[in-house]
Formats: sequence, structure tokens, C-alpha cells
Amino acid sequence: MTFATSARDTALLGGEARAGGTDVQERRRSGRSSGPIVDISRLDELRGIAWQPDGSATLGALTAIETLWRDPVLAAAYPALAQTSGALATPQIRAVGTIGGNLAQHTRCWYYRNPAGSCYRSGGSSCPARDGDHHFHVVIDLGPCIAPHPSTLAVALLAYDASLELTQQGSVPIEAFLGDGTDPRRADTLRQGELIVAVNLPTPDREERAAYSRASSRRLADWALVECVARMTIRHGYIDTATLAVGGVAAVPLRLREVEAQLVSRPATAETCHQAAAVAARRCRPLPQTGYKVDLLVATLGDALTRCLPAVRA
Amino acid sequence: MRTTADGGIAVGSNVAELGAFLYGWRPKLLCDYDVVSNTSPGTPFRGPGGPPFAWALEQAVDEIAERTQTDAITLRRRWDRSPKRRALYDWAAALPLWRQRARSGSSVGRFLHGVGFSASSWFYFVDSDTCVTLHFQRGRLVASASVQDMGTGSRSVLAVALEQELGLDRSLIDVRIGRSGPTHGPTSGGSRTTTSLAPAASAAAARLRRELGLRHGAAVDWPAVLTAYDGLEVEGRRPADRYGFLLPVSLNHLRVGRGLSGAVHVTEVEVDTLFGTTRVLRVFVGIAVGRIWAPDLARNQVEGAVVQGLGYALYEERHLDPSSGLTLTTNMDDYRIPGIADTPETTVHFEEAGWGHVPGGGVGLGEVATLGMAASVGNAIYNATGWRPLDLPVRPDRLLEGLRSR
Repeated sequence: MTFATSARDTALLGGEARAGGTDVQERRRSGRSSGPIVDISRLDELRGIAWQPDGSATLGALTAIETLWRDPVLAAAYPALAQTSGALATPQIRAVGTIGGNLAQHTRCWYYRNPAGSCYRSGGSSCPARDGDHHFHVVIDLGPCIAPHPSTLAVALLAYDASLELTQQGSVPIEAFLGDGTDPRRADTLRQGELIVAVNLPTPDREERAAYSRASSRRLADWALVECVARMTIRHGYIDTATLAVGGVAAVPLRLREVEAQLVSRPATAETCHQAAAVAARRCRPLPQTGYKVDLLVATLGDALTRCLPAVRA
Repeated sequence: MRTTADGGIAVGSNVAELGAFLYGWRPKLLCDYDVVSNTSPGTPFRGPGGPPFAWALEQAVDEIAERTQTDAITLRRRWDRSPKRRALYDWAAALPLWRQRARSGSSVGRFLHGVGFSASSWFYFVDSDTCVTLHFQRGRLVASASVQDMGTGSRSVLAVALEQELGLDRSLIDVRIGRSGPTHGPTSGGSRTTTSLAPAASAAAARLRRELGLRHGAAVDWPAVLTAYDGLEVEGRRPADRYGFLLPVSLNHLRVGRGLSGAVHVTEVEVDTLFGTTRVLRVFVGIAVGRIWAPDLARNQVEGAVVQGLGYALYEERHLDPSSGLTLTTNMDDYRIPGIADTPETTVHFEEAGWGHVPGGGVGLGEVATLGMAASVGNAIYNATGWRPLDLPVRPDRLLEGLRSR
């Protein structure tokens, strides 16, 4: 194992980057990471939150997930990101897990993680989950790999149209970074040896109303069955803008623009929210065992959207 | 009761067999079948066979209570003549949580509340060959036993027994366990360690008093005695029960004692009808195993049993690839057990009477404390929703489907 001295040199060291290690270390055990490790956790250039002149924030890739909701200024500026960050994994994982690592982690599919398994993602030529046990897999089938993308933060960043600073490709929008989910061999477009340097967020919208909704069986430490990030602004009782991103349902987190279109310029009521949420079901093509995720998708959307509305006085 | 067990290459399911030991001794039809396949073997949960048995039987009893419009505790009390468990029924029936529970299926809204009850019993096993050695060493009393500690207090149980028998401050006692010595000790399993070890320690202490000519309860200057008799060593053996054991033979040191232990669980759940999740909010556990040697540790073990039992009800599931048989749940990410945030507020009540024939007056509780937990969750879900979960675990997808079928 070597310790990287700068982000740009990491590629030259020719190993797999490790930041918080919550994913890499687990893959060392399951045999899905076997080459040399380049530890980047000491790279101070990747750390910290920088505020730009236009009021937007740039988050160093090594920023701990816990910081994203504990930092009061950041949480006030980006409430959807803060709510999302506070709800994922466990306090212990959030303390060591980084924003860059969360985005670049490998799929949690139990066929990929099993040392005896073989799939597209591990260099094989098939997806054993498709005809196998895919209880936790996708409900919107985009490509040969049916494992949902594991990054919860990617869902929130997608809802913000954030962009990533990469060592080789420069600035890349999050949607382009994640790809369209059709390449079964990868869940992002990072190149060999490439690192995420920072995440650029847009100028905060002080009117933003936000909610994160997560369906999972256990309270903490569970991968979301379905998760949804909603951002909304309301003007004179009508929905002015709405941004929705969902995770747990497809090989990549998805923006639901057809649902957003059902919200904008409509009255800011629970009825509008539930009617719009129901539209999301049209996009679903459930696998034999994931039909329940259609219900959960509509449920999380409805839950997140209605929580964005002003509290109704009793 | 007929049960069919899918344990891969493992055989010997005893689920229905346990039906012989609850609700009276009338003839019952109890059949266990193993279906053997070439998948990896299923291994027992705590109280082998007990949790699935309770899941089936106690939900069936609950269903009978519902259909006959009888209080679920009253019905069990009518069938169960065991004074020990009857004391638990009376305790549970008086709990405000039980008295105030709503009619099944009457709760409305997104979050539904329900309360469920279950009863269980388990065997009294003991290792009657257990020995404890006491040794005076440099001013300290060293107690040794060939036993391991699974983290539930074999050390403390030994120290408590010696302290009570000798009136010796616990700070002067060193307990040495975790290695095989020349004397025999109990296996940590079958809820047998405490009831094997503590009476053996008491017997060793009694022998020590005789050697030193000390009366029980007499004031002793222990630091002086320990120094004066440095090197003294005595051994105590677990005495036999009054009237002997249930079976005259021991099986690899294991003996089956007389009497069955008892437990009741009263569990409150909150069902989220939107996401299909179940949260266990509060659990009241009544345990009838006689004397509790180390109350803090016993309570801790019962709390652990509650957590394990609710994990069995809601999360634990082995997934195998349907075509290759490959085990997919090979890590703690995929094989779900409860986390700290899933842990309910737990209240534990001990009924200590009824075990006078056992030296020391108490038997083990590790298994009986968890058997009925999952069943009480199932009954609570029924009370909350009016839908009865039959498949384990009660996953969100199953719950949502169940709610739709109401």
C-alpha cells in the first residue's frame, strides 16, 4: 500500500484508491479488490468546503458524509443534501465514509460481492441475478446489469444538478458521470486511476423546500429499497419548481422529469403530489421479484413531495 | 401439528415435537418431516426448533382466541396448568399495554399500532458432572471452572454464588474460566451453564467452610484466613436435584431435569402501511426460571433474546441462488440482523418460585427468553392490521401485499 501525495499523481501509482475504506476494505475480503491500494485519505487538497463568490459551495471529495448534514451553514444552503446525508448508513459509516467514496463505491449486488459468483461487473459475461434471486434489484430495467446503484448521495446530487471535478476529465455533470445505466460493466464513467476531486453545487435557493424519503426494512444500516429526494419552491400557493431524483430502482439514480412536469404550476396540495407520484409507476418494468418496488416508488415520492408542502394548520 | 423443514443437507427438525410440552398432556398429533436437498445446511437458531414452533402454534392460538372472541391470555391460562406460567399469565394480563389494546384491525391511519402476546416453555437441562475448584492463592480466592463465557456472565455467576455462600467480598475473588482444566465443566449451550455452575460453586464453598470449621453466616476475617491457609484447595460438584432428574441417564454429561421453564412476551408494534415496515416499540417479557443468580446479566440476556427474536420475525433470511444453490447472504450487509435503532424498550419480569427441587433454585433462561418473541411480533402485526403474517421474515413486500389482501 502506498500513500498518495497529490491527487494528480495517484494515477501514476497504479493502484485502487482508498479514502474512508468502507467499500474497498469489504471488497478486499470478498475478493473484488486484489491489486495494490493507494491510500488518498491524507490528501488535504481534497478536503473541506469552499464557498464561491456566487454563494455556491464546492465540497472536497474527502468531506465526510456526516459533515454534509452536521455543518449548519451547508445544511441551511442545501437542505435536500443535508437530509439525505443524515439518513444514510449509520453514524459510524458516515463519520469515515466520504462524499467521493460514496459516489464511486461498487455495486452491492450479492452476486457481484460473492467470491464464487461471476457477472458483468466482475468481468463475466452474464447477469446471474436476472434469472436468480433479485429481490433487492431494479424495477426500471435499463440494461444488462440489474443491480441498483448504491450511492444515496448521488440521488441528492442529481436533484441539485451538481457537477464533479475529476482529475482527468475535468468538470463533468453528475448525470454524465453516472451514465445511462446501459453499460453493465460499470456504474460510473471514472477512468482508470481517475479521482473525484470535488463536488460543485449550484447557487443555493433560499426558497427551497426539501425532503428525503427512504424505504428500508431496518431503521439504519440498510440499503434503501427505494429512496427519493424532492426539492420544491412554492409561489402564491402554486408549485413553482420541482426536482425529483430516485434511487434503488435502476442501475443509476434517475431524475423523474415526467413527474416534475405534473407538479409545476399546479396547486401546492397533497392531492397534486399524490397524483404526480402515481405517474412514476408508468416508467416501471418490474422484474419477477421486484414488483413491490413500484408501490414503494410511488409511496416514497408521495411522502417526500407532501413533506415539502407547508404544514397544514389543524 | 405437521411441519416440513427445509434445512438443505441438515436433518433432524424437531419443530412439531415441541408441541408435546405446552398446553397439557392430552394426546396430540405431532409430525416432523425433513426435506433434504443439496443446499448448504441450515443451522439452529437459539432454542433449536423453538422459534418456528412458537411462530406457528402461538399464532394459531391467537387465531382461535380471535375467532372465539376470547382474551388471548385467558384462553392460554385455561389450557395451561403450569403454576409457573400461570403466574406469568396473571402478570401479563395486568399490564396496561395489554389491558388497553385495541380490537384487531380497528386501528386506522398510516401508522397502525398493535399488541401481541405469546407464551413458551423450554426444557431444563443441566450438566450434573460440573465441578468448580477453589484455591487460596496469595491472599485471594481463585475459583476455576472448565467453562467458556459467551458474554453472558459465567464469571459473575460464580462470584455471586461464592459471595453468597461465604460472605466474602467479591473483590477478593478471581474467577478463571475459558480453559480446560482437570475437572469437568458444562458446555455453553442448552441453557445449562448457570444451573450447572452456580450450585457447584456453592457446593465447593460449603466444603471450604467445613474444611475451615466455619459456620454459615459467621463473620470471618477473610483476608487473614486467605493468607493463613494459602495453598488450600477444594473442589465442589454440582449436587443432584431433589427427587433426581427426569431421565436416569446422562447423555454426554447432559441431564434432563424435572420441570419446564416458561416465558411470555407482550409486544407492541407500529406498522407503517405506506412503506410496509414494522417497528417493535415496547416488549414486556416475563420469565419463570426460578432463582436469578445475577439479575443485571440475566436481564441483559433477555434483552438480547428480544433483539434476536425480533430479527427472526422481521429481518433474518437466508437467500440462496435458485439455480446453483450458492449462498447469497454471506455478509452482515446481506444477512440482516437488527441494529441498535431497531431495538425496543424492554421490560423484564422474573417469577422466581417453583424450582425448589433444583439446588440453588434456578434454571437457565437463554433459550426460553427468545422462543416466543417472533410469534408475539406476528400476533401484534395481526392486532395492528387485521392481517396475519405467515411467512418469515415479515418483509416490507410481504406486509404490503398482505395489507392489500385484507
